[in-house]
Amino acid sequence: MSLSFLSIEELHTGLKARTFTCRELITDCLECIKEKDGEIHAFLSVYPEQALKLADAVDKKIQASEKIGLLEGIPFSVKDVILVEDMRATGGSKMLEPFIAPYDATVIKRLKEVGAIVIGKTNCDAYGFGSSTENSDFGVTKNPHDLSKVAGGSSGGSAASVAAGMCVFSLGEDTGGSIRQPSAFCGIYGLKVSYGRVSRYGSIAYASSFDSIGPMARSTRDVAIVLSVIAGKDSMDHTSIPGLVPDYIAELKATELKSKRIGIPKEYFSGLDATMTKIINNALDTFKKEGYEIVEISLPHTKYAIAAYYLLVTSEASSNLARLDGVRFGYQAPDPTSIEDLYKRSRSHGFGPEVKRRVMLGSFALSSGYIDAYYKRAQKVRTLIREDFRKAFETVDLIITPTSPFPAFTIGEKVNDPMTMYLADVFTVGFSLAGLPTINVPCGTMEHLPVGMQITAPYLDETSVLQAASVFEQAHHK
Amino acid sequence: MEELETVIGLEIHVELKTASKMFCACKNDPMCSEPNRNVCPTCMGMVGTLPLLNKRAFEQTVLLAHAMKSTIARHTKWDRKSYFYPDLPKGYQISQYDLPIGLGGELIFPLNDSLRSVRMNRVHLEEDAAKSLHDTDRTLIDFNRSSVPLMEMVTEPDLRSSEEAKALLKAIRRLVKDLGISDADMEKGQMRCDASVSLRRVGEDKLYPRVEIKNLNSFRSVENALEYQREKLRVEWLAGTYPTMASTVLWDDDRASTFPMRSKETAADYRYFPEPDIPVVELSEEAIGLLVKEIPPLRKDVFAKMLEDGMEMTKLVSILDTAELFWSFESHYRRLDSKLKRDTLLNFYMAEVSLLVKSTATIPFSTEEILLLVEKVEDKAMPISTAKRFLSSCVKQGDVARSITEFETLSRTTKMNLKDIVDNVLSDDSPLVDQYIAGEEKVFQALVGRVMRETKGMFGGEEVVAVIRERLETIN
Repeated sequence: MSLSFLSIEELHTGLKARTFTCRELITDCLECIKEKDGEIHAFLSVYPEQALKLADAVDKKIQASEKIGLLEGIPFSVKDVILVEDMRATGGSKMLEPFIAPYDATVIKRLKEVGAIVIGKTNCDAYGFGSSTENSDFGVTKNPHDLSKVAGGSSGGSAASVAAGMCVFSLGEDTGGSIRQPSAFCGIYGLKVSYGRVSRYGSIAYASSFDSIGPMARSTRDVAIVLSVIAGKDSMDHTSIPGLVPDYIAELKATELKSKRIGIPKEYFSGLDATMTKIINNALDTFKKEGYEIVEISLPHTKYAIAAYYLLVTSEASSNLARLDGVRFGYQAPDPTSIEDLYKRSRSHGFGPEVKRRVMLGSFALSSGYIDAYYKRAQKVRTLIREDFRKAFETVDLIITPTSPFPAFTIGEKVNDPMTMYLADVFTVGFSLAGLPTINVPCGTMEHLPVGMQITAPYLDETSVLQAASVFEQAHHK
Repeated sequence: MEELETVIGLEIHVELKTASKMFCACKNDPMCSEPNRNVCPTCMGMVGTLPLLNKRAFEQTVLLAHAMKSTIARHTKWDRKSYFYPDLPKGYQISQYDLPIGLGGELIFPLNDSLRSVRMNRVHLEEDAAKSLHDTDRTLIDFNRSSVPLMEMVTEPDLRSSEEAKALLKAIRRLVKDLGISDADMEKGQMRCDASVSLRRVGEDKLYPRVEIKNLNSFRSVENALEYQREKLRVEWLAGTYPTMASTVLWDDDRASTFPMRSKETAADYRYFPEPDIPVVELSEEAIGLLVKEIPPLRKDVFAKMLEDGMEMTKLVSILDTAELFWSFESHYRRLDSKLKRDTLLNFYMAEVSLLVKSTATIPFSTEEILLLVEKVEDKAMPISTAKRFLSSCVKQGDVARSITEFETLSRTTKMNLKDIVDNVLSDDSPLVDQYIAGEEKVFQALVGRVMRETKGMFGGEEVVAVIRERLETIN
């Protein structure tokens, strides 16, 4: 088994004990990428030289018996919408194919400061627009569990890279499920943080009032370790939340868990596939055995979530993508005859069909004469959905739902039917509209494919999310 | 045909004088000679960047709103105004749509010998665009100006002439300068103006579709463009037609005419929606109270007070636009108790002091000196012309007090008699006198000059002229 399948703490111990070197760890990852990524296609770019150079520096420190941090020398991958200085940041789009990031995203800066090593940038649906990476302009990412299936999306490359052992963890970005759903499809843990818990600075904006960067890893502990580094107020992001960040690692060790009530929203289970229902019920039984109470709750506005979500995110996206105009960076159409010609040809060439669809939808929803009926009404629905959750959390501590109505689907199966694809996000977007912290926890398999559940807590309470995930993880693997 | 009335409203943009830009830490120096010197990923509109609100720019806008008696919003937000243009790097401008910092308000300003008033519609804060530099075959963009804080003021259509529009702009320039929030130099683009004009029959309340004039880069162009457009509209009205739709035109200074903008450029749907990257700003009554405490004395308020004191408006206006001149005047004015003395002081400031400030950019005398002159004139101890001459000579001598001392010494020791001095001059310069008698009128001025020199300005010119004429009569 490759070194990169070990947990962060195991790796840290091994590095300190000189059981293996950091160079060996990075080399293992690079070997794994070389061996598997030709087929899986998790990465859009890999940086072996830079990673090995950093690894050697870590090894030097260890040899000199200097202290190293928990994440020092730990290789990770980064969704290609997040900027790493001097590395490509295509966001999965041809428009940004020539773009080299001029600065580090805050999350990257923080991880670099503690010595974690970026090994490469991972594939995603262009700008996060999709649920399968089939909207990436650079080809689909295949599911490591079954190469005929999608890895999910939009952070599909990140999920696949972690699941396949090409790195130890990944940073994904979740707007309406882009961390949770691929984590479910690939059988890993993926945390969508509360909106504002982690700085968005340096992440190519999809929908600014939704976007959340979060860790994707193979255990709750690894997720908690990464979160403890990236969370917290950032002076570069007004929407990041001030105040002390809990010690997530210590909170996980706190074994004494008060009995908690888990709410099961009935709207998420009506019409759910029988096998999926059974898997989730088994998971709930595990919680019961651990002393949790399970109660049915109602989130009455759930049926409007998809519509509201797609109106709001396309509106914001249409505006966020306006800066991709071919003038200052990215793809520029050659020999323009006028500025209009430059815009039209640069954007026509640089944007794929799904990007164009969303930009047009969003522009329409914001246009004069329609904004009241679409964008503004959707904002009202968002408020109602937030209220649903607020009320629910008056009676329960956590909410559990499936992450996706089905496991990873076959490549090509839904790509030509955008509406079906949008509906696949039905379980994830509600929590995004409300900005809540929520994690995908692997909880079983359906026909050899991983299935995940989503554990959600009140706003800013990542601790409860991680604790519950950890309780289940440990009980499930007993 | 009934009499027509001109209806004008202005939209004024003022670049704020902050240390850094509106939404990033770059230096706010749009005039920087090196293009793209003060730029960063944020003001270049790079992907992943987020706007950081400039607190000072916000405060400065609150100060202006307060000074114009606008209602200051307790709850403000920003909105994205979307349109594509190469000088707009994000493809949207962060502006304020429905919750501007200031709503309503008014500004009272002088024009000729009367006070005018204009109601303000709103004041809001936004970011400036970059600057496009058009070459023969290409366009270059300088992002030094990109995201510089820009304050926008919109007036109600209360102005009735191009003169009034110009006078208002000057009043606004004075105000923002007094507040220390902008230099408002139109030639440097620190203050820009779009003017909307329409006509209506006198007595009518309704507004007809307006013509908006853009690209007005100086006070003169505002006046000329409005005058041009007003006349154009008047001709249309007289011919029985007037615009049925609002339109936008560009002013061309060189050709002194306006020409229409392409409809594509005017029919924009800006798709305003709330800027998700900047949280709503809540402002408490207390915070506003603290902030407005820092408002310094404003010329408009002091000016209003002086009018109440009975000063003459047209005279005051002539020293109003140069801040240094006005505040220097005000500092002495405060110490004078009589209307006559104040008038004398204003007299000095309108002429000699104004010239001094223009030529030297300094005021080379002390309060004591100028007040001494005012007192002397008031006590009839010195002709006003002499006092004025002292002031004029200040630059060379740099010492009014010494001049006054010399003057007094001279007048004490010689107890000069103007008639005697004139007689002396006339007898010394008998050839000149002969010429004068022979009919050469122009030598008269030479004689006056001689006497003025001899008397070191102790006597006024008129007095000197009168005595010379009188003495010449007797010689004749």
